Amino acid sequence: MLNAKGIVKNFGGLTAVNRCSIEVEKGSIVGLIGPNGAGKTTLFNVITGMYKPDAGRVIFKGDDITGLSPDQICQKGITRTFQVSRELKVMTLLENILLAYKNQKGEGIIRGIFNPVSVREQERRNLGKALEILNAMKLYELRNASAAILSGGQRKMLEIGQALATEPEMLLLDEPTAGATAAETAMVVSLIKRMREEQGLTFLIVEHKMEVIMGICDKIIVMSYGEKLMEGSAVEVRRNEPVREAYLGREA
Amino acid sequence: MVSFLIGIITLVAIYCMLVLALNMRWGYCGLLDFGVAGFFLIGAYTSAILTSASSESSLFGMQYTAGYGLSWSIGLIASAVTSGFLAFLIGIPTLRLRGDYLAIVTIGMAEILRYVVINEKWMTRGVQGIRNIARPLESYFPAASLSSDITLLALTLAILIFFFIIANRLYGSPFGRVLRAIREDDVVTSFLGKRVSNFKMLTFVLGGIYMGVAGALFAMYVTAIEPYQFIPTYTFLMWGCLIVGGSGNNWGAILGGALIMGLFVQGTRFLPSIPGQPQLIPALRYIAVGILLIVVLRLRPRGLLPEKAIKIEEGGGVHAKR
Repeated sequence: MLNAKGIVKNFGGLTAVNRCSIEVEKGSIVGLIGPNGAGKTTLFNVITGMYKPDAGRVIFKGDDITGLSPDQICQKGITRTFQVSRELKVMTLLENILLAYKNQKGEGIIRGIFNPVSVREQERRNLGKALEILNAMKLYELRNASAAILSGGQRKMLEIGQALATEPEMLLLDEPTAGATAAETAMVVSLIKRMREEQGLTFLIVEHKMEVIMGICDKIIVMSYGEKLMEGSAVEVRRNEPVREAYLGREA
Repeated sequence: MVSFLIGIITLVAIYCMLVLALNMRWGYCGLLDFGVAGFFLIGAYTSAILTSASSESSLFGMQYTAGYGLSWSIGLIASAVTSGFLAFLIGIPTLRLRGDYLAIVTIGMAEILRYVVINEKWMTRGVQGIRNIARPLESYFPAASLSSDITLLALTLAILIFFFIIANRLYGSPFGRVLRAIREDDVVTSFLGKRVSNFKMLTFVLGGIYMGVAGALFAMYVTAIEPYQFIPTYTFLMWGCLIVGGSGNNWGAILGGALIMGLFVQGTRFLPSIPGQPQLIPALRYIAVGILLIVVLRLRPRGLLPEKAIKIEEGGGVHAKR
């Protein structure tokens, strides 16, 4: 489904990602791990169009999407979330979700002014779907509250909900359980599994909590110093000596 | 007295259009626009040049060739077009950049335009200004009569209400929702598949149209325009109005405009002048506006009528009550 080939990204003299290739099959959950500074988020940013790579190609469903803008890539079917959640604080939870739907007729300026039946119909449909998402996120009661009042874990939930509202084929989650409580983490994990089973969504997940990664991923990719160290199943990764070294350092 | 009052209400309504436009740009979409006076100027001069009587007069050896004697309605529409087009031109290089660049470019643009007007005397008569600007329907309502004042007031209020309704409908629409999202975080908005620069451009141009029309009405109101009426002070007064009234709230924009431009700037013209100190009251005016701004920011940092989040009731319309 997603194929990144030989991605290179330099920042001045620093090579954040160096000839990194990853492949994500349709309907799979792939984990991306590595020590801080390994280039995981930079790789995310290259795939989703925030940065243009200095070399390499990103192929999604057979199309070359390298260098497209973030909104074009989202339109192609890839949505991401952020490491530090960036909910829209002045807006309500419901508005946060409603914003995310694609192809909204009322986003045209003329139809926005006149608010014809077609716009109202679509808004009503989206409202129903948005409430379902909030329900699944256990945020239904807060639907008309401002997003600024949410806790760290709830913010992550809202952000995932927002990403789901774009109706993507593939989700890139950057630390979806950072700042979440144990209960919220469990909820995110079961949600990811359910989305894959029910909707056939494909996931690429950066995460530091090993129990999350080991529990849900079909494949784990380990990065270190901008390069791919290895990839394999949870068991293979756990046994791998270089991975241990990258995380824990060499034995004295 | 009555005509004086009508005049003040007309003028305040014109400034309220500017605040409304600034609210759309800054209050909705977070566009840092410091060029209000420039868009106001281009609207005023477009309309004045197109509608004033054609002339080939000369003064101090300078030939004036401007003046086309067209109808007031053409002047009004043309001012919307030129000001909107100016916004489009400025938007192309700046709206992709961070907000502060837009601020620098717009304030520079407004001052450059003012100097163009001062120097291109063949068209604008420089600091002499354009005089005897026609008012709407002058053949029915003779110039400098009460009926002429009332006609202009009615036209201004009708346009203000029209602009207000459009602005308000846009606020609650999916279009307005994207604008508010851009204001909060344009990076997130682009990752949600929205073409952010398009939305910014539309907002910027619509604001330009509002400001241009306000400029045309201003030219008709004062009937004589000169570059000094478009100094940056007016841009910052509009910002003051918006901040005091409540950024993001159209009622707040109107309230701020009425309070500062009406009560503080125009209303103080009624105060008796202090003997021997003719400049004291005008100077105190701006001090008073400054104090008002400080007090409001201390006590109600989001303005007298702050923006409210839109609550959506199930089953009810999504164009929610505010």
